[in-house]
Amino acid sequence: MLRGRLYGLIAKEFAQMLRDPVVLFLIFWLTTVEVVMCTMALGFDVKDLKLGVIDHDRSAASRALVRELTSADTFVLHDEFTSMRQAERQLQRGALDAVVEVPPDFGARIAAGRQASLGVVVDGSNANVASRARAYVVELTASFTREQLMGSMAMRAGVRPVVRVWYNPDLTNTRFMALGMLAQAGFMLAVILPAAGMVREKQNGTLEQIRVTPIRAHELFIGKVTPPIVICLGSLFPTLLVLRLLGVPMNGSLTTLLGLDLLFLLSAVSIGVFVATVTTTLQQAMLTSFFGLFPLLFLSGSIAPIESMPPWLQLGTEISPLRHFIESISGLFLKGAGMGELWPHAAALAAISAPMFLASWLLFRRQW
Amino acid sequence: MKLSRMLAFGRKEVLEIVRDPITVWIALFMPLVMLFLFGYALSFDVENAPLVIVDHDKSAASRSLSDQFLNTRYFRFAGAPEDERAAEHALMQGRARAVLSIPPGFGRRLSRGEAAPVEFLVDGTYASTASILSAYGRAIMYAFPSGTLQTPVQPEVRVWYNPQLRSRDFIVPGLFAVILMAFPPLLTALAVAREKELGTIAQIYASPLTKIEFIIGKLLPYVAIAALQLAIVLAAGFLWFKTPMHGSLALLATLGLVYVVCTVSIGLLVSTLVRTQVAAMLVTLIVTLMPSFLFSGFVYPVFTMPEFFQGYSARIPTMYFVNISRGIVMRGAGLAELWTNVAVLVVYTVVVLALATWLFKKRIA
Repeated sequence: MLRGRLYGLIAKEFAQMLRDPVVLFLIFWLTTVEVVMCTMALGFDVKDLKLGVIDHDRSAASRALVRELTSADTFVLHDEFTSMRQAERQLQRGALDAVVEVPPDFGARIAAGRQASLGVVVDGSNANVASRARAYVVELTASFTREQLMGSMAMRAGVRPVVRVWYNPDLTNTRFMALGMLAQAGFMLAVILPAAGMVREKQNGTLEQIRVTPIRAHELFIGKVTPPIVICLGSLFPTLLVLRLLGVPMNGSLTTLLGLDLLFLLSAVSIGVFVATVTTTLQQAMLTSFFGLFPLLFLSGSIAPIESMPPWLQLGTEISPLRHFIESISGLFLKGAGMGELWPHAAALAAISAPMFLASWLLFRRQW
Repeated sequence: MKLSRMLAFGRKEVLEIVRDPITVWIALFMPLVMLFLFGYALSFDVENAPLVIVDHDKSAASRSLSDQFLNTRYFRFAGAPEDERAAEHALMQGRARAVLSIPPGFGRRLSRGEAAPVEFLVDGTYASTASILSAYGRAIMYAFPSGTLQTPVQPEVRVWYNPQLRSRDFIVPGLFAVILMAFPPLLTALAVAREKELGTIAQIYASPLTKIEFIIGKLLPYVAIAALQLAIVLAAGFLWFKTPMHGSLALLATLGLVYVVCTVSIGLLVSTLVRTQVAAMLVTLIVTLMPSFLFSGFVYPVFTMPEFFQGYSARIPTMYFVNISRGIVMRGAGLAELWTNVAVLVVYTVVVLALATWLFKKRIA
């Protein structure tokens, strides 16, 4: 009896949710096309920055420096200038990304083993690019210095840095971006769908009809939260398939992913239920869920590194389920970690999700 | 087109908005919350990345190298485990972003004048952070030991237009564009979809209201709200965040007004296309918020994208207002430099509004 009732409810919810072809299409779009777009477009490599050079010295040393700066694919020599004035104009127009000015006595000072300075100007209008450009200039000058010293026999050897980048040796954003989008798409859907499903009944008055049926509060609750969770879990598969077709390797345990996703979605649907209990019209529900989604979305570390946030906000990220989920799936897929390494994040997810889910159930029952 | 009818319809819309306090509250408060979160949270300068140091040498030289790392603002100490396994574990758990591993005999090799390899491991998950960290890591190691030898070349790096490389100065002007693309269309998109879902649209079909009167009557109240949002974000951006302003505030506000008319029109277009509010919300997310956040050059520079996606970016008005806003605020640009962006926005608005009017069918579907 009870099972039959619950099944009926869940079937009704599925039907209602998927009846709108636009919504169905949008779910599909969010979990595949959007993920692909971000994965392909936002690799975000800072390469081939246009470098302008003002060489007042024209010595062997200054030429060697310019060679060093343009040796990797970070900077390409765009143009040479005779004065800062000229370079300035190009920089303003955005035709240059950085300018290096070598002072007249540069070579002589280095040969004499004295300190030489070097003027570098970086276009800061995109802080994102500028901070990388600055790091590269500092690195390349240090390596140049080192070679000069070695050459002049002032130092035969020193620290030989062996730098290795793990988990992502070619330093592309692709896979991280894909994971971030996968998590974000699931999160948005899992908040919006249950919120809409519940408020719609309130607004249309069909909730009254349900109340006079033998359906109990917990049955309605389960009936409302199951379909979004199932849809979101199911939407993982097209995403993973598309990523595989694109050649973005996702190697990790699928069961661990599903388990973590389930934990994560519980917190998301709880937010949806909260929203549904405090609002009375669909418009309010949509706006309120938007309002709740954003802070959590952007405190997740998928947009900006968490380390660069001020300490109080870093603390705030701890309560974002999205943050722990993204950390776990990037551990799972990028680093090849298992539950042995991931348990702190899984535990955090559980610690966030469980009370939220419980609270949302209590709120729901009170309103029933 | 009758002005009185249009105004009456606009008045009805205003009343409807004002009588729903949750909506008004969210409409005015949400842009602020977003501005504050982004203003504080989005920073691309890498600072205080947790560094784990495995020191097998434990000599004066190895300690001094460790200090060199920790004395910069890029790294902070996150533990000194006994072996690489523990360090690797920290990296996997995300407790550390980089590992410095100094092999035994490091100090002896250095004093003998031999090459002393040092391993520096960086977590590549977040590519941008990783490349900055590895660059600084190399630079620190190349320069070591600077105690015994003066580093002869001192790069004096100056960053123009944003001297302290404060991400905020660059984020906030971009945020104006993103916020005004995120909220006004959302509100507007829900407005027509709501009437459709509740069936009140039938009353409009039955009324003598023409299509243009309907579209303009819907548009104006939401443009007013959007203008209020514009005022709020500008005030917060300049008064609270104290973003240095190099150009004309009046110009920014005027062009901002043009931009919000454009974004509200997009919401209206979405609204005429879909039937339910859930669909309206999801479509708005997909056509306005996500692309304006991801593809407008706000965070990810457009020039790093593949060409096809640069074309996609060019189809989103946010990109043009990001250019306008950053141009005015950071570089003090005027209309002479920005007119192409403004022209695109105006044309865009006209096309979208025409499309919305054309697609709005005054009949029972």
